[in-house]
Amino acid sequence: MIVRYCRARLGRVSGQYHIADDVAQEVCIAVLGALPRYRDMGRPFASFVFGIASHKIADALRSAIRAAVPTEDLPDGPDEGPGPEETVVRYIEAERARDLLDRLPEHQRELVLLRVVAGLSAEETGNVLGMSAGAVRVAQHRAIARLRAMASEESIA
Amino acid sequence: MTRGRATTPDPFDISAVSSSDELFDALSTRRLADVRRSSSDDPAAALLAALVADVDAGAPPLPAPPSRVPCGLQGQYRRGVRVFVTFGVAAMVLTSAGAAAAGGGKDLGAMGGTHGSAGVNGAERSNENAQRHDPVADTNTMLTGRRMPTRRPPDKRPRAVPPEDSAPRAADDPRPPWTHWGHRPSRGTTRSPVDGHGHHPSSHTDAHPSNDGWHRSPYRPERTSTP
Repeated sequence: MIVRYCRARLGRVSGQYHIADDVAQEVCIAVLGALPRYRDMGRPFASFVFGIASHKIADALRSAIRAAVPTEDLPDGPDEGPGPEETVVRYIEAERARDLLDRLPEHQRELVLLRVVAGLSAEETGNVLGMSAGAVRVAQHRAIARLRAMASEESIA
Repeated sequence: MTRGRATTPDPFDISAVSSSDELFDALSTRRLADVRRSSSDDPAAALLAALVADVDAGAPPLPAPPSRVPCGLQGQYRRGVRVFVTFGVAAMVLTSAGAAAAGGGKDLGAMGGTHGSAGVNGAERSNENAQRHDPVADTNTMLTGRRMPTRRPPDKRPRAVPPEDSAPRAADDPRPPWTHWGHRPSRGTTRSPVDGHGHHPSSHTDAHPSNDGWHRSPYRPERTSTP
């Protein structure tokens, strides 16, 4: 979940998810380091983890260095993944989705990322964000309606 | 008319909220094919599905929801335990009822409800009981549901009657009672058969009415009864 959350927030750099995966690793290390100081204040543990993840992502965005990731060897073997055209289309659509999500209010963006990318249920998302499941359902309905409106405006333009 | 509600958000349809929730559930459970098929004219759903597919590429699989599999196993286990306990209790009841019926129906009254279901066999069995037992006691049993204590026939077995004046009475003994209670024998005295059975002679009192010659303390002089 943390890997997906960081990937959805940071996106690809030079066509790869290396930066996002490194941030996810830093998040896990920070969680392990913060475990002795963790006190149960009535909120779920997932909110503690995602709070650390959001801070780490903010740090990574602040000190973002868009540089190519060097590799030792060129990949030389059959690629079982999708073809180049399909990969490019998926990459463009994913980037467009990230742009639309960045234009959402922060609360709705976090809700959509937790609900869709991290794969949490409405109850779990409500526990993380301090909302009820019904409030999560209403907020996600408003978020998807706003996303539809923005996507239709872009397609018209 | 709506000047007081200018800041409130737009009203929403419950069915639209539920359909949006279904869309989010499909995206979170990674049913992307269903999402693309059902929302072909929804650009936002298609973009979110593309984002999910892009993020999932090369990522470790999502953990399965932990509350589904154990619930099924627990339900099956509980169902099996219930069936086992039910059959066990039924087998115990049937076994005890059969044993009670084979034993002449004496214990059926304790299980309750046997008088009404007696039938012809019950009538025959009650006749047998009437011949075998005291009719007064059976009547009391029928009336109260409990078996009343019956008078026992006199015991014709011979009883050991203590001989008269075979045991010395405490009134006849000039010594106070505490002087001969727990009296130890002197050395050289022969042991009585009582001692041979493990009874300590100091545990017997001479004043007890059930004392006969066999249990009498051997440390007293034998008194002869005069007619």
